[in-house]
Amino acid sequence: MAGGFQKTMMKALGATDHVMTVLSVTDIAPGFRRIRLAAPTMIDGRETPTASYVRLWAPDPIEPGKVHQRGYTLVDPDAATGEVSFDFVLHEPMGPASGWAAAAQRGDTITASYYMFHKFDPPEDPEGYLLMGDPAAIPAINAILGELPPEAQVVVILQANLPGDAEIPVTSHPGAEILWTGAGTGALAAAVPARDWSNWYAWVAAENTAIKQLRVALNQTHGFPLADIKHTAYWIRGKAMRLRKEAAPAPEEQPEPAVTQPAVEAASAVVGKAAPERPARPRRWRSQGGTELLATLRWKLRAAGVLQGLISLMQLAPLVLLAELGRRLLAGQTRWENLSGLALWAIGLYGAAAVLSAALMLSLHAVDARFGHALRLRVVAKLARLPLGWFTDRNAASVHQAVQEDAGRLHYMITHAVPDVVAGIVTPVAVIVYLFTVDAGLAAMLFLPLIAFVALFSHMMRGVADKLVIHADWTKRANAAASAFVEALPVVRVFGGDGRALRETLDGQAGFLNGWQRPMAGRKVASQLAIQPPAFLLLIVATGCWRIISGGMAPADLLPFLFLGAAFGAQIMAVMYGFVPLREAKQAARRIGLLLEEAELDRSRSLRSLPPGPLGLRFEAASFGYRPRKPVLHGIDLDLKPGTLTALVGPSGAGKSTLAGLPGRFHDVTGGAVRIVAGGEAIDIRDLTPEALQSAVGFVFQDVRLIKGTLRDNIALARPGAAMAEIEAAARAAQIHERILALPRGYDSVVGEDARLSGGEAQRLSIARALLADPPILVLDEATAFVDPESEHLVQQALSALIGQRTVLVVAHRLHTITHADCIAVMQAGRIVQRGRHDELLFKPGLYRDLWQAGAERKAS
Amino acid sequence: MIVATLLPPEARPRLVPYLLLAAVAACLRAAAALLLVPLLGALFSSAPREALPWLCALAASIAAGWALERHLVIRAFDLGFAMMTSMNRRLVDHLLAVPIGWFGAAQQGQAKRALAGAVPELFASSVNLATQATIAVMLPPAIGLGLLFVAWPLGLAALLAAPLLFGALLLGARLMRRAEADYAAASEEAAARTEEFARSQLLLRAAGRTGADGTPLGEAIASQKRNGLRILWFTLPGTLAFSLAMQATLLTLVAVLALMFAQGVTDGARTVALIVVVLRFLEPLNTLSELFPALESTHGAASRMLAILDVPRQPEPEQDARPGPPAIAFRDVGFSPGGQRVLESVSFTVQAGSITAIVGPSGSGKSTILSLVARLHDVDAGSVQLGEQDVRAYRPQTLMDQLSIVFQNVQLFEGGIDANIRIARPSANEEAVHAAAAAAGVDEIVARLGRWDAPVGEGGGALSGGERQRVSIARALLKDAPILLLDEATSGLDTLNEAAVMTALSRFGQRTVLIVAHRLETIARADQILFVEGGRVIEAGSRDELIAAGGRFADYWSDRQGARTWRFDRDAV
Repeated sequence: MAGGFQKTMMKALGATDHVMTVLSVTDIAPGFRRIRLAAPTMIDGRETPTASYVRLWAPDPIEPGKVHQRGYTLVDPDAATGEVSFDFVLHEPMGPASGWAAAAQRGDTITASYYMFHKFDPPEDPEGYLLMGDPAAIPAINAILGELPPEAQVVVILQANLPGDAEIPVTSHPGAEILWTGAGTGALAAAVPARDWSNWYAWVAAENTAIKQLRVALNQTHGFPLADIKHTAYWIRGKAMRLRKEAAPAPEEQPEPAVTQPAVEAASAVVGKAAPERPARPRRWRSQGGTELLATLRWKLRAAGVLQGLISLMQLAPLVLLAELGRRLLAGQTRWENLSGLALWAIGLYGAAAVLSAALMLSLHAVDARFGHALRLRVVAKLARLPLGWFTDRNAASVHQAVQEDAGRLHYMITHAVPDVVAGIVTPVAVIVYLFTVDAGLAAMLFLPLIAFVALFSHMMRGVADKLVIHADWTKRANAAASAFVEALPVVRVFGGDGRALRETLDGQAGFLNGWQRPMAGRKVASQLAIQPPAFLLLIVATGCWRIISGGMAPADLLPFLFLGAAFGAQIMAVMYGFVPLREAKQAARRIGLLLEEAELDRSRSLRSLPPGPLGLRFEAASFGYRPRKPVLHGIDLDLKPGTLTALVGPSGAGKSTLAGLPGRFHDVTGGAVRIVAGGEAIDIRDLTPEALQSAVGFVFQDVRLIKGTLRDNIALARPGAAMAEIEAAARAAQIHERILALPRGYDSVVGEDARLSGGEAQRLSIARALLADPPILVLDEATAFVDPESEHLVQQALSALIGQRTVLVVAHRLHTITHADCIAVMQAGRIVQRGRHDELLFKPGLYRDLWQAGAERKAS
Repeated sequence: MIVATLLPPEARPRLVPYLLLAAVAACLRAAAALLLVPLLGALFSSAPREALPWLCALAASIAAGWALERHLVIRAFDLGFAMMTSMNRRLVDHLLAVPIGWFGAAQQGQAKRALAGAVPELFASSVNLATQATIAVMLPPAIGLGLLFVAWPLGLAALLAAPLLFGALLLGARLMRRAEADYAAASEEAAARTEEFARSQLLLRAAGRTGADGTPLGEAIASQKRNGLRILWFTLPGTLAFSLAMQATLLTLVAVLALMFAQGVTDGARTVALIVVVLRFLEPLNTLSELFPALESTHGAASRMLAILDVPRQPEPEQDARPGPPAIAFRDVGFSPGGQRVLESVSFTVQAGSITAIVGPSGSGKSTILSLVARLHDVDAGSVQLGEQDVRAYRPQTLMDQLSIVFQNVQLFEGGIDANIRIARPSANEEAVHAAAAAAGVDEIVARLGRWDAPVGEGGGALSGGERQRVSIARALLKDAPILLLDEATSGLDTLNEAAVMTALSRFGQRTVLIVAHRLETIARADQILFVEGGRVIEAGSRDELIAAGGRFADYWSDRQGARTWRFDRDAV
C-alpha cells in the first residue's frame, strides 16, 4: 500500500486532491501519447512556472483502491479554460500511469495533487544550458526548450531506455544540440562531453541514483558548482514508484554493468563529435565569486562558532551545578563548606561566559567592519572598471541590491546569525546528552511532546499548500489594490470613487484569512502548547512520580530534568528559525559575487595618447551584440571627417544609440573597430588611454546627471581647475548663466538643495559642462529638446553653440532638425541602409523618404 | 492604550474580559509552578506517595490552563479580525478625506505600506503573539505574588526583581535598536553614494574621476566603517544587559534561598523545589526576549497605521453650496505648501463657456492652479471660486460633479481600458463608452491591444504616457461635466494625442475650459491666455492682444515659433 501511504503523507504535508476529466487523447508519436484534461480546480489561474509538475495518482491495474504517485509535467496549462495536458510514454509492459493512459478515454477521471513546483529558474545569462534527463523528463525539457531565447546555446542529453524512446518528439530549438545515450544508471553521467562548461547552467532530471552520479560527475569532473546544477529525481529505482512512464521492470532489475557498458560507449561515440576540444582556460563559474567572498571569512566564523559553543556550555553549566547542589541538599548535606564550592563555580562560570561573550561580540563586529569596508571598496573599484554600457537601469538595481540589502544580510550573518545558530544547536544537544547520562528512560520521554507537536502541526498543515498559494495571491492583490488606490487617489476623488475596488479586495482578503485561519487557530495553539514548558513539566513530574514511587529512580535524578528539561522544546524550536538568515546571507554573497565577476573593460593595450589637432571618427566593419549569436550591429562602416556633422536616423530599435555609445567604449565592438583619425593616423580606441579617449570624445545625452555639489562644480567637473571666467563663459554660451545668477547663491547653489532645475535647465547645464570640457568629437542625443517645451529654444541655442567646429555624431528623432547635416546615415535592424545628404536621400526611394513622408503626413493631419 | 485605539469602538469592551482571562491563565501557570513545592516536598520525602494528590492538582491546573489559553487565542483571533476589518475601513475612509496635497512620494509609500502591510501584520500578531506575550508579562508577577504565601522573603525578592528584569529587557532592546539604526543609516549613506557613483559613471569617467578617494563616496564608506565599530558601544550593553540581569536575579534568588535554608526556615527538599519555582519565574522573560523582535515589529506596524489616521482631514462644510454658472475665479490667491511660496496673489476669471490657457515656463506654478480649482489643496490666502461659490463651500462630491479633469501624469487602474473609462460615469452604456473612447483616439490603443477589456497593467504601465492621457481624456468626455481642467502632457506627445486634446477643446468649448497648454496650436485655441511666471500671473489677455503688447508672452510665442524650425547647423550660431 505504498501509494496509499504516500498519499496520506502528502496530504499531511499539505496536498489537496484535484479531480481531472479526460477531454481528448492524441498519439503525437508512436508510444508517445498526449492527454488533454479538464482540471478546473487545479488550473485556476494560479502561477504554473515553466516545467512545473504535479503528482498524478495512477490506479493500480490489479488491486482496486491502490494508487501510485507519479510526477508529471504540466503541458500547455490554460487558465482561461482550466485545461491542461500530460504526456505519457507508452511501453510494454505497462505500469500504472502508462497503463491508465493507454486505456484512457474521453470522460475518464484521475486525481492529481500539487506538491512542489519544480521551477526552471536559471541564473541570468548563463553561457549555455545543459539539459539532461531520461524519457520521463522530456515533457519538462520540452517546456524549457520552448522558453529559452533562440540565441541561447543548449546541449540536450537524453537517455533512451528502450529502442523506441529516441522517437519521442523533442521541441526544436535553433541553438540546441541533442544527444542520445543508452540505458543504465551511469549512462547519463558518462555522456557529458568533456569541454569547457564554464558559466553553463545544468538542469537534470532522471532516476534518483542516476541523478546522484550525474551530479557528482558534473561537479567533480566538469567543474559545475553545485549551485549551478538544478536536479530532480523523478523516480527511485527499486522503490514502488517505478520508472515513471512505467517501462518494463526489466531495466531496473537487470544487473547494472551489463547495461551500462555499451551505453557508455554509445554515449561517448555520439558525444565525441560534439565537443572534442579540451578546456583551454581554467574552468570558472561566475557564481563561484560568492563562495570565494565568504571563504575569506570562513576560519574566523568557524572560530567564532567554536567559541560560541563553549560559551553556551558555560551558560548551561551553572544549572547543572545547581542540580548537583540540590542533590547534595536532598542528601541531607547542610554544611556551607560542602555547598559553597559549587555556588562559587556557578558564579565564576556565569561571569566568564559573560566576559567571553562580550569579547566574541567585539571581535565579530571588528571582523564585520573590516570585511564590509573591503567589500564596499571592491564594489566601487569594480564599478570603475565596467564598460559604461553595463550601467543600465536593471544593473543599477543590482548595484543597489548588492551594496544595500545584500551587504546588510552579510553584516547580520557575521555579527548575529552564526552565534545564534551555534547557540541554538549546542544548547539543546548538550541538555539532552546530559539528561541521557542522568536517566535515559526519562530523557527519551522528552521527545514525546516533540512528536505530538509534529503530529498536531502536520494535521494543521493539511491542505495548507493550496491555501498558501491563495494567500500569496491575496497578498499580491491587496498590495496591487493598495498601490492602485493610493496612486490613483486624485482620480478616485474626481470621479467620486469611494475606493470600492480596494475595499472589496481588503474585505476579500480578510474573509479568506478568517475562513482559513479561524478553524486553524485552535489546532495551532494546541501544537504550540505541546512544546511549551508546562507540557514538559507535567511530563517530567508525572513520569518522575511514577518512577520514584515504583522505586525505579533516585529522587535526586529528577532534579536535572526539572532544572534543564522544561525549556527543551522551546530551544529546539529556536534552531528551526536560525538557519533562515544564514541561507539568505549565502544567497546575498552569491549575488555580490556575481557583480564582482562581471566582465570588465579590457584596458590591457590602452596605452596611447592622441596628438593635438582636429579629430575624425571612423567605424570600420564594427559589429556588436550584447550576447553571442545575437548581434545588434552588423559591420557598420561610417567615416566622420573632422569638423563634419553626421546624423543617425531610423526606427526605434535600429541600433542608433548602441552605435553612438561605441566611441566612448560603452561596449567594445565584437568585430571590426572604432578608430579616431588624428592627422593621417587611424588609432583604434581600445589602444588609447582612458584619459586620452575621454578628453577626445564627449557625450550629451537626454538622461542628464547632475552630481551632488555646487553648480560651479557641476560645470567644471571635467576641469576642476577651470577659472571662474571660463565657467561663466561656458554657462553663458549654454544659455544658463542668467538662470544661475537668479538663484540666491548663484554658482555656489547646491544641486538638490537650493538649485532645483527643470529638465531643460539641467540640459543646458550639461551642455555648459561639455563646452568647458571642449572635446574635439561630440556625440549628441537630439531627444534632449523634448523634455521641456517651454525652454526648448534655449536648449537649441546652447546646442548650436556646442557644435561649433567639432566632429559631431547626432542621434536624431525629428528629421527636420538634421536637414543640414553633412551626412545622414539611415539605420535599420543594426545596419546602415542608406546614407547621404538630406536632398539626395529625399529624391531616392527608400527608408529615409518613407520616414520623412510619414512625418509630413502626421503634421498635416 | 495603543491596543484600544486600534480596535473599533464596538470591540473595545471585549478587551477587558480578554485581559482578565489572560490573568487567570497566568495564575493557572503560576499555580502549576507553585504546586511543585508541596509535590516535590512529598516526592523527596520518605512517603513519595503523598505527592500523588498534588500531581493530580498540577495536572488539573495545567489542563485547565491549556483549555483557557486555547479559548484566549480564539478570542484574540476575533479581536484581531475585528481590528483588521475596521482598520481597513478607517484607513480607506481617512485617506479619502486627507488633502491630496499630503501625498508626496514618501507619504504614498507610507499609505501603501499601512494598507497592505501593517494591517495583515497586526492581525497575524494578534493571532500568533498576543496571548503568549500577555501571559508571559503577567506570569512573573503572578509567581512572585504566589511565593509571598509560600516563602515570603523569596516572593519579595522576586517581586523586586521583576521590574528590574523587564527594565533590562527594554533597555537592551532599545540600545540594540539604536545601534542597528545607526548602522543602517551609515550603510544607507554609503549605499546611496555607491549607487550615485554607478549612475554617474559616464560623467565621472569623462571627468577623469574614477576613484573614491576624497569624494563624498570615499567619505561615506569610511564613515560606514567607523560606525560599524562605534555601534559596539550600544550593542555590547544591549546584548549583555538582559542576560546579566537574568543571571544576577537567579543568583540573588538562590542566595535568598540559601539564607533561608541556613537559618532553617526551609528544609532541603523544599529548597530544591523552590529553585525549580525560581527557574519557572525566569522562564517567561526568556520567552519575551525571543518574542521581542516580533513585538517590536508589531508596534512599528501599529504606529505606521496610527500615523496615517493622525493626518488631518480636509475640512468639509456643514451645508453644501449650490453651484451657479460654470465660471472660475481666483481672488488674490496665495499658496505656500511647507512655507515654500508656489503662488502669490493670483487673480483671474474664466468666464462660463470660454477657454483659458495657462502658459509659462516650467516650474512656474501652472499645474498648481488647476489643482487648486479641484481643491486637491487648500489655498493659504485669498479664495478660489467655482460656480460663484468658494470651492470650500461645496461638499467634495458636489465640487467634483462640476469637473472633468485630465491630469499630467495619469494613473490608470489595473483593469481593462473600458473599465478605466467607465469609472467616469458608471451608468454609461457601451455605446457611450466607445464613443468617448473613439473621440479621444483610444480606439487606436484598443486596436493595438486587441480588445476593450485588455488589461492596462499596474498603474497603466502597458500604455505609454500619451496613451494614458488619451484614456484620461476619454474619461473626461464621458463624464461631460460643466468644467474641463486639462493639463497637457509634455512628454510622449504624438499626433493622436494632439488630436484628442483638440477634440476635448471643441467638445467643451461651449462650456468652460481651463488648460495648461504647451503646444502652440492649443494656445491658439484659447479665448484668454494667462502667462504665469514665478507663481504670478504676469500677463493676461487674448493671444493677439498679448503679442501686440510685446511682453513676456510675445517673446515666448516667437521663441516657440523659432524652436519649431530649428535645426543642427554650425552656421546658425
